[in-house]
Amino acid sequence: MKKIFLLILPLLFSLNACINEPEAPKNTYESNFEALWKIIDTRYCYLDYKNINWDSVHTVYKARVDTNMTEYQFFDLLGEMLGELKDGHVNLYSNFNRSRYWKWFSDYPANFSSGIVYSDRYLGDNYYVAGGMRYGKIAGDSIGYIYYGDFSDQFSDTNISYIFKYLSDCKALIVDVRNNGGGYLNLSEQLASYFFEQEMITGYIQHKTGNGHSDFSEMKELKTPSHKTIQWRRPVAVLSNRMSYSATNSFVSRMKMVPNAILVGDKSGGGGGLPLSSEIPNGWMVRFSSVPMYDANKEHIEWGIDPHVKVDMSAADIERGVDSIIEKAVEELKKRI
Amino acid sequence: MNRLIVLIYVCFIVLSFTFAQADSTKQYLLTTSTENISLTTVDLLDPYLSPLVYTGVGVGYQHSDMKYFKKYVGKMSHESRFSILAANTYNPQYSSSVNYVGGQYQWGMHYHFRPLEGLHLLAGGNAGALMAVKSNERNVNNPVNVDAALDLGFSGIASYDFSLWRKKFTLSFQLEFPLLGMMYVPMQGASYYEMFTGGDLSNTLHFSSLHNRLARTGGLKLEIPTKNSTWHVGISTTKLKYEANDLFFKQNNYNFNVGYTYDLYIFRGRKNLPPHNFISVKQ
Repeated sequence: MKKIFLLILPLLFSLNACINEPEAPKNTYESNFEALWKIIDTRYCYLDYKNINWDSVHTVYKARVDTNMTEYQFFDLLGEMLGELKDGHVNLYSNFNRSRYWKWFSDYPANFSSGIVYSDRYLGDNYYVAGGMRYGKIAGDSIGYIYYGDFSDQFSDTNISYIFKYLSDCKALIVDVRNNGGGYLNLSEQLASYFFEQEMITGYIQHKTGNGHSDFSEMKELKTPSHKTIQWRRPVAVLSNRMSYSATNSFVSRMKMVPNAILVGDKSGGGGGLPLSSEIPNGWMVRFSSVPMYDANKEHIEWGIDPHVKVDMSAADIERGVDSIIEKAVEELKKRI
Repeated sequence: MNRLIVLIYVCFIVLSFTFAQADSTKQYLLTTSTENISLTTVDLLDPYLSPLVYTGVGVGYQHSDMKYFKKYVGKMSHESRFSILAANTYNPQYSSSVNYVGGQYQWGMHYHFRPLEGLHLLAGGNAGALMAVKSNERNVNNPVNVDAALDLGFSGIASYDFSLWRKKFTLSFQLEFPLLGMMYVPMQGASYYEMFTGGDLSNTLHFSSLHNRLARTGGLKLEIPTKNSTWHVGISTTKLKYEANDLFFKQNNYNFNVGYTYDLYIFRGRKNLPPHNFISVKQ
């Protein structure tokens, strides 16, 4: 036994060399720049899809790193570099600022006015609220209307059951997810499940498996189940605008597969890559798209989902307190009732 | 804690007394139990959560039971051990934290050698299961990672009894390391949504051995007999590093330990009933 022990012990220590421990990065502007650039180079999922020459980005921005910069200037430089990705899911977080790319909605019409939605013509003052959903009846009580503004607001089957019960005499339903910037992906699946009569493949997902820009796992099916007991089987319209992003974009993509659903409004904002987080040596956190998701046709949903009926809110309607998108949805639903 | 110590001590005295009365020639196998609490500094590198090393402080508790096998009294014993550790660690800039909560169960056997007067060597192996949760609340879609592993490894103890101030002290050194097993390592690019909502756990379970998982737990302990029990103080370290899926993980724990040891005789089952003058709360 003693001999075995004496043999194993040096073996254990000699095999330490088999595991290569990475060198701890230094906290300098240069190493922070390199760390951030490398995280995106190896883990960001859309470099090839967006045809971004990330090596060229390195050359351009590395030349601008200066040891005499202030922290704010360095942060702005890194934020500008991340802006090259044109991705709302990419942010750099420090204790004093958060970099962001907002052109995915700021370059487009707003197509939403909360003042109009909460006016007497639509929800009014006496709407109900359950699980983050504000709901009531519109168009002479013939159409149910739900406004859901945040997929981080949890809801339960009981919430939905009560909402559908209240709207049971309505002949159609509007689910308005405009200005809903996303949240939990499982809530997007859950909300969609109330409209599916049977489980369907509504998309695909894959993830990075290596450092190469095209190193991805096999696509795995994303299914939307049909809720066993709570179902809305009458016509439904989903309203989206460019601020319908991330988990909301995923919800819109799923709802496009519901046979009696129509998408009305503007193209959704996109955000098809599930973001993960990492950090650089100075403790700043970076969030970036890492897990690409696709629609049922295996097409990227990073740039958004086209509606069936494209409508922008007109200035004249806004002036009159009319929501052109809700009106169009009501009109389309009445054709289907 | 004081009540527990008193209770155990009373049990021990009563048992010793009644055993002495009952049969002074028959041998009874006692279970040597050790309770230990530790103050621990933790260095943690989990690249699924962050590429930076997080450091912090934690507290741990360990309970172990050792007993000779009936047929190998004085030669072979078995040991079961359960330990937990909770720690809070921070990145170098204190801008983010990772909370660690882990538990480990091990069962092993030792062969006993006594090559010199007062020197006691134990060598053997153990099997263990580790489960720890590490959470970084700042992260999005990768906020949690799990250390899960099943290991078979070596375990050895060297202890030396010596007398000082007419008291018998024991100084012991313990070393353990895993040799092979299984471990869970996530894919770096995979989100928990895929793994646990989508059920895609491919490439997460790995065979482990000295080529991809190295761990060493070593410690020095001084046992100090007091009037009513045997206390110990000591220091120990646990160093763990492993890699899979192109990810390198590391954890170093440095512990300051305090605890006490006591012997118990345990009656259980149908065959091992207590004598009539032993009163159980079930009676």
